[in-house]
Amino acid sequence: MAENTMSRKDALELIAEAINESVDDVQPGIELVTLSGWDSMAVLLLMAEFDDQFDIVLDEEKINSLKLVDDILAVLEQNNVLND
Amino acid sequence: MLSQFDRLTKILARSLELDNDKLVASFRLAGVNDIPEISALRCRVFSSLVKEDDERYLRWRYFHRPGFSSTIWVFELSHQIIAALGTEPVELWHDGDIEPALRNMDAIVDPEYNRRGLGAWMTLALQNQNNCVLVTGGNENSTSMLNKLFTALPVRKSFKIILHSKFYLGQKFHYPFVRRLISPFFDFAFKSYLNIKWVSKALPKNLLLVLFNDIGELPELIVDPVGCLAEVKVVRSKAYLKWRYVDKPGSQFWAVGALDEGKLLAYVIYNIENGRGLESMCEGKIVDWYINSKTNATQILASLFIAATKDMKKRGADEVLLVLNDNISEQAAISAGFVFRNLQSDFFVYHSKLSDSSHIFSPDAWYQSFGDSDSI
Repeated sequence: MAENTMSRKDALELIAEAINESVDDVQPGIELVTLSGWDSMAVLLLMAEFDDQFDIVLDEEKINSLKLVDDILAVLEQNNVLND
Repeated sequence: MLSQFDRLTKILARSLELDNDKLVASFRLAGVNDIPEISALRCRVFSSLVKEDDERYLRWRYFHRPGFSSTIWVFELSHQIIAALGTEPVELWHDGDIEPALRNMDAIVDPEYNRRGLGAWMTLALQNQNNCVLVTGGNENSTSMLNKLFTALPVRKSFKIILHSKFYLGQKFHYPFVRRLISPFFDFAFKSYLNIKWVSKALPKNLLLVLFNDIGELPELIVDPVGCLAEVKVVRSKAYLKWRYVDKPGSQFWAVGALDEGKLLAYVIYNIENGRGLESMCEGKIVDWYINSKTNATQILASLFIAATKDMKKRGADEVLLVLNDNISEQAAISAGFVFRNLQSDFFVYHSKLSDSSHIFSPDAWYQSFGDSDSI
């Protein structure tokens, strides 16, 4: 288990805050490109958040593979951050 | 705790395979020698929108300001400029005082480095160095980023006067014969409307209307550059007006003014661009104005808007556009026959020290015009 863990609900809030979107809009099944706040700065903020909080390094290849909100949750799951 | 700028510096540096210090050092003020490379980058990003005399434009905008050796920043990677961010140092009047501020414009990133967050990082870098940063307007690529880094003020109202109907009808009716048939009626209607609006809109009798064919004479008459319009504005000083409207290459501006016993009380600056949009429309724009007295301010400004519009009509303008924000200017524009268009646009304000209650974050407190954008 990672040192810093959280629930899916908290993870969605963290993602929403990082990309400056309402958490109501950042839900599983949503395509990232449909979110108005999903831009290059959002990517940079998300990378910074993952780096600061979980020591997760998102490289360019990984970033380019993110299509859905679920893909971001999957990154957290793979790194044992999600606890539910 | 790391600042937002430091956090993003760390991430961007890693993404570009640089260390943090090298990343920061790679963002530097451009020199005159960089102009050809900046222009080439603009051509790669904007393609056909970049004018032939772009290098002359860049030289004027970023290397011709009195007191500044350069006002455009570039990001250099492996001895190649991959991004640039233009700025305009301005004096901002707000809360009863003047403060230096920076207006950002012309942000470009080499398409090969898109989606790395370089544009956002450069903007943050300048916010890190300056208390107050402004951006007028945004595009579909930048608005989301600007909303994250600035307070968006949803203002800048757009107004228009139609002088000749052919272009207006061209947008409404597809068939030329229909346009030819009905245009005399529309021209008559527009002319009648303006004649009614323009009745009894002369300057007060104690004031003298002056037409400045040579705009170079106008800055010399400026005594108090702040004036009385709005509580927050970019100050149009003598040096600023000279740089902005007299020295700008490839553009011609005219002005009308109201003199009170030989002293400049108010002015309106305007220009005409040929070949805009449909079938080479001749588009007039009222780009800047000023008044130094609240007494009869609406009447005086309306008279000057009308005088400027009449002069542009004589010079062949098909329509005259105006963007504004403050209440006095809006009343004057409506009184002069301008019609509101539903084309509001945002501008963006950042201040590192002031609270949200400052006038600077109040949309209604600002004076804004075309002169506050880089489109003029």
